Amino acid sequence: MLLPLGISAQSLAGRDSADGKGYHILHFQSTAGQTSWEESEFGFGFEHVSGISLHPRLGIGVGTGLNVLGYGDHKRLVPVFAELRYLPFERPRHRPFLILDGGYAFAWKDKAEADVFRKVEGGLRMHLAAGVEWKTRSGWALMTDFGYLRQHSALERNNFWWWNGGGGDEDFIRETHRMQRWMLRIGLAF
Amino acid sequence: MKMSHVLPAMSLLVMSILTTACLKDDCSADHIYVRYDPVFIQPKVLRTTIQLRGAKPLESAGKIYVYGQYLFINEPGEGIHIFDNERPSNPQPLGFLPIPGNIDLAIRSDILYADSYMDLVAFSLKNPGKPEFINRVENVFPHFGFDEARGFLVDYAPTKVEEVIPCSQASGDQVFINGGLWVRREVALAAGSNLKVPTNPVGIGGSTARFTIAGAHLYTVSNSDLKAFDLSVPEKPKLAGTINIGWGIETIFPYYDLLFIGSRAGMFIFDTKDPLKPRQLAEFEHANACDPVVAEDGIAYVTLRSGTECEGFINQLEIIDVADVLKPRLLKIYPMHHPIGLSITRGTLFICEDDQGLKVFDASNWKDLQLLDHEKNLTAFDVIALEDQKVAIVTGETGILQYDFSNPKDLKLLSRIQISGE
Repeated sequence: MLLPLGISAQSLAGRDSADGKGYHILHFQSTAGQTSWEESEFGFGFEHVSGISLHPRLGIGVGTGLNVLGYGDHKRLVPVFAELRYLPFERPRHRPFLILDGGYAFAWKDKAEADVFRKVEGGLRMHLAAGVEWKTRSGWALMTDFGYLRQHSALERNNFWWWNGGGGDEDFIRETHRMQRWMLRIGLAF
Repeated sequence: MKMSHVLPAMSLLVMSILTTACLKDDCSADHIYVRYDPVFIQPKVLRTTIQLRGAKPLESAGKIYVYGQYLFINEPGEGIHIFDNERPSNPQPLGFLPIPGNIDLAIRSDILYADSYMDLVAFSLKNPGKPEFINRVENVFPHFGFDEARGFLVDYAPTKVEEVIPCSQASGDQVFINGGLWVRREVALAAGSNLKVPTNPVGIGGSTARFTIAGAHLYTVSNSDLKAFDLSVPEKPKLAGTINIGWGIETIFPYYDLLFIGSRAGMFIFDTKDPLKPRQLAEFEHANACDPVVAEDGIAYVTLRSGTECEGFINQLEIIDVADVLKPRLLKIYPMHHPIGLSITRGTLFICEDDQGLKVFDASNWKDLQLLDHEKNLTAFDVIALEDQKVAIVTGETGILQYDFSNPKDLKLLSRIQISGE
């Protein structure tokens, strides 16, 4: 069965029996958390992971994507991470799994916001999740996982408010953000 | 896809939305700001007899005043350095007058008038190299309040502070930390119910007075007032009147029988036909307090520069016809680099161009200013041109420089009074 993208899919589980076989997973995710100002904040993104199965129960991979955790250049990040995937059961269908990934996410400054954000920096990322994989008879797999994301980033912003006009080159604030999010992902393995 | 597969995912999504409060970001801000600590002075400490002390290094330079062969250089907040400048190539330090809070000075009839926080002090210059304290007029200039225990609140001492605080506190100019109010820029407030708070940031860290002598009178401006002092008895200056003229008042200079008073909004023109009751004639919009002005033979030369508190963004020299001061007329504009102070004498115009040094122009024809010389290896802020001696005294970043402009096409550096530490 072809995926809507037109890519032929093979299940991850189908390859587990043959160690060393590669896999690709495309995730779409949503995030939820609370800012330091105690406001709820939701985000979205996508990630692609490429990996190999070292063992029927263990896979490792690397991934990247785009995460928009909220408002601000410091919350729009491109992560690059390494992933460890553990599947405790070897049942051929509907298997739970655990994921731990970690890496670094890059941020960049939007020219349109240059008046506000002088500089943005990415930071370390850590993600821990548990999920379930559903394999179809045609061979591809649908995955859902839910977990915790911790992401650091930093920015320098002008101390600019409309009523004071800013104080010049030395009038800025450097903020270090340590974000925490629930992350729900839906993935397609192929 | 079965509902049994979708339902758990939807449930997780709903649960994550409902439990967002369980996860809260942590954000810390590295907050760099200036903390202003109030400076108090007891009346008995302030109001002592001031005596000349031995010469000491110049640590910063403010206003310069030339009186005969003597050079008086203000060190803001500290006092006045006195030099024998009979030979500009070798100025000799004579001494230092320690005047707390001094910013400005003026001299007339061998009497030196200077501000000392809220007081006006007078010194006899019968021997200019050895001024003698003769009089004090108390409480004529603004102060920020009086505390019974600590004395007069006269100033705010800035201290750069770097702290890490929660991001939610790091916004705007004001921050509440540890029960106190801190402000980021030149606005500073003092806690305490007995003290007034300054309502205008002008004056903190800068001048609270500007002096000029016109006729037999001393005129000073502070944030909002023009004061006239009667010098008919030079040793006993007497405050004759105070006129409220608005806000953001910063500069004053005399022009024949007129006073040009610079504010942030524009230039006010007062006449002094009644010297003790100056009367406003007009407002001159081509210049404001951030724009130094000099005038000669009915032509005013005004420098405008970017990066000042007046929030200008252009750098240029304006030539203005002020033959009729009530109807000033802009004649021509010359683009400049970053012009600051200027001086004119008999058609030779000196302009300080900040890090581009000092430029000398032939201004005999305002339509076509000709650059005669350009001293590049200095950062120049202000200049006084002395026609009789053909000496230009320049206040620069590193000290006070004196140039011989006998040949304005080729200035010769005569001497430098170094600022200590530069």
